[in-house]
Amino acid sequence: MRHIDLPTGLSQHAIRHFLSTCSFEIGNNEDAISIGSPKGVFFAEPFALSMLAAFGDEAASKNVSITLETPSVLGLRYAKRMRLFDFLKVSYDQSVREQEEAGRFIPIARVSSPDDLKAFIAQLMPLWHLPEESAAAVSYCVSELVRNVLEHAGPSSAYVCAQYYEEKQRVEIGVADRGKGILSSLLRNYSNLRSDQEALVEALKPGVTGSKSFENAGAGLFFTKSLAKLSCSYFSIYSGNACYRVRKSSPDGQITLFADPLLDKHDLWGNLPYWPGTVVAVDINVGRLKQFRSTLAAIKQVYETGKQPKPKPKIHFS
Amino acid sequence: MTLELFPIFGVFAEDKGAAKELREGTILPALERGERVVLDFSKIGFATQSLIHALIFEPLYKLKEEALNRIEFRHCAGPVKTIIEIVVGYAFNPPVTTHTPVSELR
Repeated sequence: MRHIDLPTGLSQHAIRHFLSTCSFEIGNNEDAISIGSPKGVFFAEPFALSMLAAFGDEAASKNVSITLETPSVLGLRYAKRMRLFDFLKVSYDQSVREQEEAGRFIPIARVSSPDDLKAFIAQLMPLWHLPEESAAAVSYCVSELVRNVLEHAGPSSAYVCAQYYEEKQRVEIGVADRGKGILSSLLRNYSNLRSDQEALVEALKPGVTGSKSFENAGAGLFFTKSLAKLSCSYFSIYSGNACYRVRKSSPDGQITLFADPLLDKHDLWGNLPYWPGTVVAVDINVGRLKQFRSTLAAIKQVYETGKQPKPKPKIHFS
Repeated sequence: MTLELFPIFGVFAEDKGAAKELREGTILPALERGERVVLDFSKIGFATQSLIHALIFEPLYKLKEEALNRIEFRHCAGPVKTIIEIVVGYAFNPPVTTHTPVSELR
């Protein structure tokens, strides 16, 4: 039986350590996997829970059983509340008082269709108890990230959850899938891509898409990364064996958005254990995104930078 | 023709599938017939870029300014207006993206 040892913190801050020490690829000959943590997991951010849920669902579909080595490995109360055990298919008998979901967290949901997403977004907006524009920014990220999975990942569902820290005014969102991954998706239109690292960098540029239809502009990841950066928060994306992370911007300085993600203050790692699919982690400091329109205006400026000067077409607003 | 969008999309407009249906079934054919189309965003607070793209990019791409001159965007909330400006902007002047091999930057 293969064993996965989780580190104490499953966070974007320590994402490299987490990803480099845990392999969630399921081999063809595996029939059982145990999960443990020598020191226990003190906190797990939504992206890690979404990853574990996606991994658990795939394990179940391949008849691979999962066991938790020690009962305290995942902080049982929190994991139960987030419905992680439903996806890992491990039993948990202790009675845990369910908390009201409103305002604090959105437990892991499996989203498999546009109708699922529509229903998920509809329940998301009022749950946050946030100002309308802040809630819209959060819903915006969830919508774009989950649609990316439904449209580009192949047959995989999206596994999504979120947590709101009221004191810090921070919302953390995690979306994971076990689909074909960014490189495979982009190769259709960008045959010169040679690695998962290059594919991640391309995917974050505005206008880059793996689709050839009139429904895709290749802007969802760029918008989402920009919302995180403008709110001085982390954004990470992990696919194949590579991970890209935007570092937190200083809240005191001027924040500039770039079309090229390599110009952002970032980390880009390769040679990580292979993740079959894509994981996105987004933090939004909602206190800094009170004016969604001005945030969008900053994104609009990026689209207008570096272009050949042309007269602007007249748009008829009334 | 005037299309009221709130009954289709709700206050947070993100359903690209419905936008595609509306574009293919109603908006593009009307514009191709030379008709004027009013997109009424009353009561819609927010729209994703993906949705606005799915709604209007194809007519702008195919019919160019002829399409834009025949579309009226009515009662747009601030964030919706900005998204429309972004989509129209890149429809007529696409962003410049160049492939940068990661290995060459090290």
